[in-house]
Amino acid sequence: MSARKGFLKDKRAVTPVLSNLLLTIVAVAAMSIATTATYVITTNLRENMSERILVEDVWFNNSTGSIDIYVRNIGKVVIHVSNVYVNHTGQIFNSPFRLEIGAQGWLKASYNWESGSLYYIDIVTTRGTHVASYYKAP
Amino acid sequence: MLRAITKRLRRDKRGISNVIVVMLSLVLIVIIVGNVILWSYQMNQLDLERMQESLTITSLKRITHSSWFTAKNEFSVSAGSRLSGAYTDTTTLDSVHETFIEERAQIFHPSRYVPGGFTSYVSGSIPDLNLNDDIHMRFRSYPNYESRYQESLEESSTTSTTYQDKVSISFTPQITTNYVIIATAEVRGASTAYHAKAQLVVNAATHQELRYRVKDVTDWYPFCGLKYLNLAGGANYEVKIQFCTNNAAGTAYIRNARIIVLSLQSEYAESEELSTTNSIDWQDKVTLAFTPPSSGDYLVIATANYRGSSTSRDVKIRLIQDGAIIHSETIGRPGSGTTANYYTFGVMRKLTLDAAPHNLKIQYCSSNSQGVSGINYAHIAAIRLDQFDESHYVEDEDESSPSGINVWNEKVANTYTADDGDYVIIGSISYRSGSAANSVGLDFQTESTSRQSPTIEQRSQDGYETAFFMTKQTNVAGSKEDRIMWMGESLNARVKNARLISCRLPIPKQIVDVEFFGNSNTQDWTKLEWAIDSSFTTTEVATTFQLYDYSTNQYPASGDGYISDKIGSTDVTENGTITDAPANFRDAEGNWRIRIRGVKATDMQFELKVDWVEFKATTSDMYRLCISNNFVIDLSTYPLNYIHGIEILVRYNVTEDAEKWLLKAYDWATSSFSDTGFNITGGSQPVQSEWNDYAVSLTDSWTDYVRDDGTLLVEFFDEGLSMNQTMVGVDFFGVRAIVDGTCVELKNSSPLTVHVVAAWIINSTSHQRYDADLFINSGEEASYTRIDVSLPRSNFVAKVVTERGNVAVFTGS
Repeated sequence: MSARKGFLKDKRAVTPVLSNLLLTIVAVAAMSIATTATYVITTNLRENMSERILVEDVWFNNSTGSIDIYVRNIGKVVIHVSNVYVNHTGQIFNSPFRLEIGAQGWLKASYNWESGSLYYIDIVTTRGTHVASYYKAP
Repeated sequence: MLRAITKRLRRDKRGISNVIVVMLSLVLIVIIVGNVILWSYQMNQLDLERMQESLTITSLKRITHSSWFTAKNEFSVSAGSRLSGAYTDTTTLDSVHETFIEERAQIFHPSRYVPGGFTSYVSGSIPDLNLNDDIHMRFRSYPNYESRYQESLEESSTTSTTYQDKVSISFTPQITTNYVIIATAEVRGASTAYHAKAQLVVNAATHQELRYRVKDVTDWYPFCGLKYLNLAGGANYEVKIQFCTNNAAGTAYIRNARIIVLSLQSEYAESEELSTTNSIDWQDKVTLAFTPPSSGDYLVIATANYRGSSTSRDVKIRLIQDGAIIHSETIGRPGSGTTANYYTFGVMRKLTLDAAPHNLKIQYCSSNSQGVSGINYAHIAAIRLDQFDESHYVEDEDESSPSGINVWNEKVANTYTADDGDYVIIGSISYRSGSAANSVGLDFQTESTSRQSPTIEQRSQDGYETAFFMTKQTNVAGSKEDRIMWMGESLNARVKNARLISCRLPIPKQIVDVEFFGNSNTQDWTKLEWAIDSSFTTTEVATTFQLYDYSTNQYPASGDGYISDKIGSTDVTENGTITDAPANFRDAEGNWRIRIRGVKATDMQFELKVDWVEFKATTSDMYRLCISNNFVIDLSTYPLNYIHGIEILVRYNVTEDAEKWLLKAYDWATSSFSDTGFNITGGSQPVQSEWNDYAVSLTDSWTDYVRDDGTLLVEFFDEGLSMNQTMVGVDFFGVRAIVDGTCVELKNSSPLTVHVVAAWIINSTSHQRYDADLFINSGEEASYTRIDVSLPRSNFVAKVVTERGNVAVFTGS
């Protein structure tokens, strides 16, 4: 009863409470934003770091006229191939091409290759990982 | 300390904010460390391991054969005998051998079987009969006949307008065969304005239906049913007599309901759909035409249901045989409701028929063209009486008058001497009440006990109708008398065509009957020995073993080639030796046959277990040797889909070189040894006292010789020309599969265990990937065989891919 009377008599009691409350809210909000941003950024970073792709085989397929690339996901995240470049030129492929962890499959790029020519084949994932190498058509 | 912190916090106005900021900062640090630093460490470790991994293909070669599969058990010797050594001596090429010697006796086993009667095959195969080794062929017995009988004699009533069960038989036949179903009952109605209904149903299908328009509420009107059906063994059937009323105001009653199901063979015809006529000339409803295989007695049963269209016109029905009346016309007149009413026609009679074509007909017509007669559910069955152990028949076709009003008279009595056993007793009679206001009473008695006692008041005083009776009873041996009694409430009542038969049902037996067929030779025999080892899954089965005598074209009933015994559940070997004309027991091609027949008086099915059947012929001059064994290909390593053929190799040594030696394999499809599809069928000409390799390959039809479990049964035998006794040493006897596979030699030089997950075979036209699952320890070499991977004939590149993502490459040609 006496504490209630003291609180009601204190003309400046409301201002410090409000200011502390506001400060707390601002601090929590700022840190939440910072935490979320950090989580998102580091998660992306972690996923980028976790991508590993193995090209098991490249087949300059005479019967289809395409370049068939057998790809296996040996990383720790699911892979989506966004682009296939042959000699730095984007090619049509069997999109969407998605590989679960440990999965494999033929990535078929339509390209009118020539026997004996050298090709620089670059496979790019949606996270920006590149797997590229030179291959000579038989 | 806590108090100090609390005081400090109270003094510090920004304390809470600081705590929150510090704590969230710690969360940030944890996220960054967890997501970036620790994960980076893990991925770096993965990359490091991948870099450390070192796998090389040291060699890669095509494989064209599996390893040799050799004998796992001792050889079977069907001709000749074993001298020394064991089958284990034939598993390696090392000159350590097993020795056999030719003998004059040659053993043969069956190559096929034929179950007799309704005997059914259960399990096992013909090669199981080659050895007395407790591996059996099994055959299930069948009953000589099956019967089921049910009765419900007490009075039952219903006001239901849907059919109610009165009596039913739930029946699962042991075998698929034909069954005669006979049903009888009596029905009554509480109101002359309605129907009392009864029907015979099998699995909900109606085969006889009575809709009796009640004439006198105290009367019991006869119902009978007949059906001949092929019932499937193992399936369940529900056979029922059902009853109901057509209106809840008229209670329906039923009593003395009986059904019997008998697996009797019968000549049979039916016409169950409704037929109508207003003709006064006889119309055929159903015709049974048949020719008896021989002269004999038949019990003919005919049933139908009839209706009329007018209460002043009659429906006539009769049964004729070859144009002659064997049951004179019955004349029925419908009550109110006319075509809604269906009445009973049911008669039986014993006929003696010769082996000539005969026909039996149910005919019907109208008494006047103003009336339309209808008939449905017409059935005729002619059951040959020699299917019963005995039968006793009596008939009185004459018309009889009553000796007084309400005085019971005997119309017909069947007196006979019965044996112990089950009897089915059937009767029928034509009756006439002689007055539309009086009834005629009938009483079907066996052993002076009333079994059925219908009382009927007819609508026409002149018409004859029929009543049919049936019961089953177990008789004790002695004199018996079955009777049909009758009485009239009017002196105008009459009865005629009274018949009774009593048939003793066969004693239930189970029979198993099997014939085995084999081939031998056509040489000059001096002695024939035959042996059978068998048992049953029950005790005390009277069993006969018979060897077919081709000189008399029958199985002997005694003497040579005949053995009888009581066999139980323990294997018993029965032997026979024939020295007097043994060649009588083979035909010109050397074929022979053995029959085993077991009979037991029981209704429980049992199984015959045949372990061993041997037919051993001793020749006067020829020495023979024939050995055989099973060779089992490991299908887990060499699946049948990837096998292209079979190779068989025998390395042998002989003391005589006068004849060739041959190989044959057992054709599982034809159950015989054959060399069809062998690249060499002429045999191997040995060099005396030297090791001779005899190899044959099968690339065509090889699947006929390999059982589903990978077993090949191969026999090695002489040409059969030598008069001298030859000793044969067998150093090696084996089979192997012809395949087109690949063997990769791998070496893991890294400090880590390598997991190979895929292999590639690449040539100019194909890039083929094969899933693999092979672990190689650090520093070890491994040989990886795949018979499903076929190497190209031209240049190729082979790759082996590890789980971590390294690829080992091999170039070959």
